[in-house]
Amino acid sequence: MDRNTSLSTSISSRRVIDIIKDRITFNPLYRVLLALIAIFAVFTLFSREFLSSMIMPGILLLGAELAILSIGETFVIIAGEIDLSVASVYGWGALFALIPSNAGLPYPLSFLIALAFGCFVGFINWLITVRFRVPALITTLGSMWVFRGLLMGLFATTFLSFKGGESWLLKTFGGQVGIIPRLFFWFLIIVAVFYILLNYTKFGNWVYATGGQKETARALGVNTDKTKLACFMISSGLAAFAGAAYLGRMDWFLSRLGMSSMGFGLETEAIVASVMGGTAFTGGQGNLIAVSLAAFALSSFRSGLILIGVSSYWIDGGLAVLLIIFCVIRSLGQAR
Amino acid sequence: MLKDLQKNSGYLRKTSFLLNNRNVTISVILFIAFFILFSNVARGFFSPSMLTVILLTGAELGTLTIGITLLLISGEIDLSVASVFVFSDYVVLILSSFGIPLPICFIFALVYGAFAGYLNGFLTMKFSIPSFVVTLGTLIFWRSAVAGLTNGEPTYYTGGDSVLLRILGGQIGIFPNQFLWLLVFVVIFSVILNHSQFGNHILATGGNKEVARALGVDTYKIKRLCFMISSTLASFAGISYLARSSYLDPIVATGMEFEAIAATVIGGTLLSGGSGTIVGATICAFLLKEIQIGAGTYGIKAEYYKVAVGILLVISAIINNLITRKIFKA
Repeated sequence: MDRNTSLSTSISSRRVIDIIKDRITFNPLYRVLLALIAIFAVFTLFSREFLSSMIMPGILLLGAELAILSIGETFVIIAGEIDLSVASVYGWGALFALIPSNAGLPYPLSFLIALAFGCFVGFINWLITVRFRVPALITTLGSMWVFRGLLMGLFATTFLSFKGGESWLLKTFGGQVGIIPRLFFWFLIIVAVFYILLNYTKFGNWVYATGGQKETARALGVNTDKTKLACFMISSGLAAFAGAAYLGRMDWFLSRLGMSSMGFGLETEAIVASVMGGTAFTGGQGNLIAVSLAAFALSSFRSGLILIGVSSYWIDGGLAVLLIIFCVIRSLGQAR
Repeated sequence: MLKDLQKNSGYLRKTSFLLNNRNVTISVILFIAFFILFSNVARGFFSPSMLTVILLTGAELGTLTIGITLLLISGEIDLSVASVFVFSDYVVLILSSFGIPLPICFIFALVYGAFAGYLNGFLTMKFSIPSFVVTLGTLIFWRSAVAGLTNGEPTYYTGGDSVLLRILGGQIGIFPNQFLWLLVFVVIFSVILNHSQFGNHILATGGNKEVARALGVDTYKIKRLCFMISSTLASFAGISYLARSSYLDPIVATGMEFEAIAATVIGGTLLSGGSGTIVGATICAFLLKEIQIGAGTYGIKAEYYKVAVGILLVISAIINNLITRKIFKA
């Protein structure tokens, strides 16, 4: 009887480890959840302050912003393309929300103008990628540099401060409710809306089909071109949204918005979050919840490292290593 | 499948000749046109020193462009070349500050370049990760490594003068040595690409990977080698950067990978792989630098250059596509 029990215990414990390994390599949600827990555990060990009311709002804020960008990026990647221009659109979104407001328009109107600009950029990206068959990597690399160059060329030396009036919309973008930044609630709304869009509507089905099996999708009557157009517009639109929402927190404008000191920026973080969330570059796979969790994992990773005192230069490098590690883990899962 | 085979073996040869010829001609015409334009508009443009600067910076960009061209032809991409460029200069600076003789430092830097290329190739091939993701990661990693190790501050060269520096960085008349080195590389790699079995295999791998494999080409090895060539060339360019600048700032050459990709696309390399010339890409590298320096002399802000590069890149990619489609339809 004793031998039987011990035998069955050892079998089940081996299976648990195997189950965990399986889950990590196959299920992105588990992977990211584990990463998030690990990051929190490690950093709390390093410093009690990690969970404090000083650090948590920063994590939630950065994470919410990154998650919004990553959700848009994920739509594009699931559809089989990529969008490198989101960080530049983010900067222009802030600009488009600021300038009309300074000229006297009410902020909600400027906000809509910024969104419209984002959709317009998405349209251009789509036009060149789908109509002219230029690979999305090159198109969005080009549009990233064009918009970034224009932004820095036109506004590098001007200091723009927000002179628009008070606005109820602006107030919902800034400040905190307790320790939770208001933007976090916007993030919750956005992730809910787009999760439903992706997983419970025909359109969401089309997105997965366009990315996974484009020819089959077309044969089944899915308009892959229009689907991609929508995805590009979602990506750039959300980026412009995040940029416009930036004005809720800061009342002046930086031309280096969305970029790190080394020149690469939010677009890379958005892609990393997407990959960490299990989105496949071949298209057809992606989970918005996992991607959002990954965004928070990244923001807590970054905040934790800053808390310990690691220089921000190394943090970017750490981000790159994380990207590679997650890609490798995912590919190991696929190989099996 | 059979149609692809016919197209790629018979027609692709002819069409890529046409494409490349056309693009080289266009590049040369544009080059001359810009030259005339800028020498009229901005006084002092036609000075020998301006030409030297263009040849110098163009040679740096050209070295990177050769590697990227080979990779793009084989069907992959390398976004990390500029970061490898910067890190290998850093390797030389650090090692020489320990008193190690310069030639040994150079060798170490070249070995680092080969290693960086091997890493890119390994991660891409072994784990089936798209090359732009891998090289995006290594781009960030190497650059942040330099920034982290130097804490964002410039590093200064503390070694002595050396014959090597003069070989790499001197001048013969108005031609900087870097330019002559580039000519050597262009000749070598042009010959390799167009007249050797290795080059043939590169074109085949990029043109149609499955067919190439069926014909016995080891596509994995070809791609890995191309990654290594690309990064080693980048580290050579990084070493020769030392010859023209005695200090290294971590921000140097940001965005240079983008210029290199633009140069190779404008020069006729197809983004789908399988077609492209070294000569065309190199001419376009000089074209880009001419635009940058000419615009700078005229007073246009540096950031607008990036805008121009982006627009040129996309337009050229569109034109390349249209030409290819037209040729294949005929």
